[in-house]
Amino acid sequence: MTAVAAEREVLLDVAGLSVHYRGEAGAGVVRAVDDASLQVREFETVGLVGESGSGKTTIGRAVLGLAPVAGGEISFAGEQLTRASARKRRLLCADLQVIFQDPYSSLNPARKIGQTLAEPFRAKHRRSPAEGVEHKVGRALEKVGLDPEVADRYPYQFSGGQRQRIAIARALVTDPRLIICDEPVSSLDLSVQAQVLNLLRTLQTELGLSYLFVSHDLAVVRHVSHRIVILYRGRVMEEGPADAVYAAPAHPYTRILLAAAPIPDPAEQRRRRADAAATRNERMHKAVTAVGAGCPFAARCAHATAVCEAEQPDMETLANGVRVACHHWRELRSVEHGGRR
Amino acid sequence: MTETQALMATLNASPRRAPAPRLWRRLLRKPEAVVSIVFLGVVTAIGVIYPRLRPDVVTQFAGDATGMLSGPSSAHWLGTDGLGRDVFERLLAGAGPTMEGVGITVLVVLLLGMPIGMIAGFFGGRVDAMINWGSDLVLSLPGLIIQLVVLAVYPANQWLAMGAFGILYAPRLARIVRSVALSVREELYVDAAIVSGVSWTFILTRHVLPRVTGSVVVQMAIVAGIALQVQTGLAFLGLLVPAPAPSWGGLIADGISNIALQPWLIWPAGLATVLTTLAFGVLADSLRDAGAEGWSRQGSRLLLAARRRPASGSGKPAVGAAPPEDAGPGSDVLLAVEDFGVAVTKPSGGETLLVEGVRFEVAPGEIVGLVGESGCGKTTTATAVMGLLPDGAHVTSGHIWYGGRDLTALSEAELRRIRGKEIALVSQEPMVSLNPAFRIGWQLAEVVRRHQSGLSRADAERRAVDLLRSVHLPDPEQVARRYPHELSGGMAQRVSIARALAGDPDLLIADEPTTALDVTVQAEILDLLREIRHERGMAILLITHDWGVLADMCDRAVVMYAGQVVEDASIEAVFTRPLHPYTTALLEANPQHGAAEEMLPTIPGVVPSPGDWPVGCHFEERCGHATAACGEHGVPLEIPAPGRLCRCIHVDRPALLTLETVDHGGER
Repeated sequence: MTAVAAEREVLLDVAGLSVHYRGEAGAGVVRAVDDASLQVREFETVGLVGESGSGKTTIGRAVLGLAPVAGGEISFAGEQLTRASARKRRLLCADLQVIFQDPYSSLNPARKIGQTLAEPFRAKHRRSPAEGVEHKVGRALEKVGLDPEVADRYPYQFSGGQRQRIAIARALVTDPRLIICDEPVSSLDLSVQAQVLNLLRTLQTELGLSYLFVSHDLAVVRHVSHRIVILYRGRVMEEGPADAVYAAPAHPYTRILLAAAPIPDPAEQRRRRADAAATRNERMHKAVTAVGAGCPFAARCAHATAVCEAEQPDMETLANGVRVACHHWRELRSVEHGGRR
Repeated sequence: MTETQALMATLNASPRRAPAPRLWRRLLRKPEAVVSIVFLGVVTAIGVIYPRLRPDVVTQFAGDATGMLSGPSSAHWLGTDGLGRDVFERLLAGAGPTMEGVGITVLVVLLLGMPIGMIAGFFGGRVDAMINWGSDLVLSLPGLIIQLVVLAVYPANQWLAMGAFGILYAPRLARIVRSVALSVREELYVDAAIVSGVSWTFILTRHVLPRVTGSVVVQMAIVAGIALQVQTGLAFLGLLVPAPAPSWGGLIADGISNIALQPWLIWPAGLATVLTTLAFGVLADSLRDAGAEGWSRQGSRLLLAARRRPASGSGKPAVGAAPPEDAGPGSDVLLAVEDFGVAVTKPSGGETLLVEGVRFEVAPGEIVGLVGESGCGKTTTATAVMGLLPDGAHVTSGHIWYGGRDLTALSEAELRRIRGKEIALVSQEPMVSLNPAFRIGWQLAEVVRRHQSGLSRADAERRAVDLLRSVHLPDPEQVARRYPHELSGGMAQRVSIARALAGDPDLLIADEPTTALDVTVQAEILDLLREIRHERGMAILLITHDWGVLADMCDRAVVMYAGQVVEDASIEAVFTRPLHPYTTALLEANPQHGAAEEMLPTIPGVVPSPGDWPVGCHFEERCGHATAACGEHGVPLEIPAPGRLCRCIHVDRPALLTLETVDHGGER
């Protein structure tokens, strides 16, 4: 699986991306994303995981041109996006689409579904499809399991799950190659969430799509992703094949994150909780305000030493294809193997 | 694609509400709006037509020299002025320049203010700053003096004078439009439009303009009223309309100069001015109300869930003064909800049930999870235990036994003593329950003092700091001095737990307490709740939609679906041997169980809303095991095994017990 994936063409290449925002007056610059690199290959789903403030949504927005890029490069299908002209970006828009978290805010309540879906064809420099816009919109709605007739209705006539299907249809209407999914199921109920996740998978198989799947829900990301990227405070902590990262997390932050998510199995969860209590450390509770020169996680990390505070760790590649940014991953791994039966 | 077909079927079968009527139609339902529109229409029509029909009135220098300053008569309906001219004719002709002045101002304000405001709000940044700076400059100019200067240079030029007023007023409209445009800019559909590559003019006209229109229309009615005042004022001074031509301001001036001889004369034009201004004001009000209705019609269901009121005095007959000893549950039960139902009265009469047949128990020190999807009645049930019901709702059946008392039969005063002191609430949004204007310590001390009335201010503050310490907030003294906005989400939830502990309650209702939090913070809050339960022996009713949280925290699980309890079992039993098909299906839909590359088992369709519940089993439509018998009549909650409840007529069919037969890895 991994070997096959490695041979596929890199569709999205984010290299050393930084996004800075001006903070509150006097607070200086907020580094929402700090020197982050990731790749999405053809026909692949990459999960982008992190807690609030990790910059996961910002990376997606930067790729879409909705957030200002302070440094680094984003290229899509071999084309530079960071310094692309407005005209070129518009041309690439067809290949690069988005599904937002909130299916209520992402559809204009005053416009019919059909009008919203036809929007991409109103863009300049784009040829209208030969078969006609209406036909194209109808096809997109069929692909997400809706009747083409819903084009004549308004968003408020639909439930959250149906709206999210419509939002997916809007992303599909231009036949994109990559879709940025920004928490696409977080606001949905469990049964509807499963429907939408299945739909995304079906579409990937049928249309050969790639997804950059941004989410805070580790279970959902594990279910959909081939590879995952763990972010903390705008930096990539760990990155690699989803199974490898979940089975043997190399970075202390990844471990804490995975251990914190309760699993729906009372007996197993009781065991995990006991494990977590044994390794509990008070540093986790520290409110971290400023990031120094070193590892951004150092202030909360139980294993942090002087070198962590002083130096930014480099990305190192492990045998199982996982890449990790931690000074101590080797020691931690050997302790792990010694400690476990 | 069976799932797709099922979805299409539900979509096409369910009757959709008709779209909300357009703004003008909602407006025409208001009698006061119709009256003012008709009035303004008539005044405008007269102003346009009459001066053209009777040019002699406009140019008339002197009238009937023998009948000057006469009162109303059959010859002169509204009397005559100082030069013997007919006041009625002059009033009608005067509407012309008056309404023209109003029209000029409205047009200038609209054409300048709206595009400038939209551009400022949409582009923001430097463009916005420059426009703001320009607006400030214009607004700081003295309006009346500018108009007088214009009139001094171009005497009696109404176009320039009222146009100048429009320019000076436009920044006010621009600011209102800007704030609306700013909020539209935040909408994700604008981001989606940008991603799809459309031009900014398209976004401005298709997405921003429609949202701005409502407030602009209201503002224009207000501007018209103000412009009328300004026009009349300048005409009163004789600056706008040259001598023989009539105007309302001129008529009033004439009346004032003759007030000693004929006090009647100021009334006709005065009243016309007042009534027209009033009509503009009423129209503005109605427009604003009609605009708000458009949004609130769609939001009414949400409002229903959000606003709550006390449950007592709800018209439910009292169950008898003191319940007999054997009516309540035994002493090993803290809270017992029995056959509980809540309904709202529809505006059209009749009732819609929100929950029915709810039954569960909470033992002292036990953590019971209330689980289900949104719209299943979890929150309605939990807040009803606090004696709080949605607006317009009442208890239709059942009892809520708490410590030997039936909470549904208590008065509001009695409930208030229980709320906070014996039963406390922690909500999903801790920030909402904290007042942003007061320091944390002060707010907590208030709660402490309410529960212990004898306590001094200083003692209460000390107790507040102790409470903050007990929820493991680092440096509690310092946290007590902070305002709510200075807290992170996790800290705010700790503060709200500290407040819930202030009355030392026996039961804590936690409504999705960690849904809004990050996963590591969630783990800390759950640890805290577990610790509190352990140390204080406090029972917790935990509302959640997350199977992981349920497995982590609870001793028992109560599964709700479409307003009913469908299953009640110990936590191990729910996960290993679920009995109800809904429980099974919801567990399987959880991505944790499905490995990557696999499709998740789904439940077709959506939860039916209250009012759309089927006669028989509520889950029948979505259930893979449903038979004809399922839809025939309501399904009772039965006891299939000791300590378990299930609402399914096929509960003994072994085929349903999929998880048990498959047996995942043998957890016993």
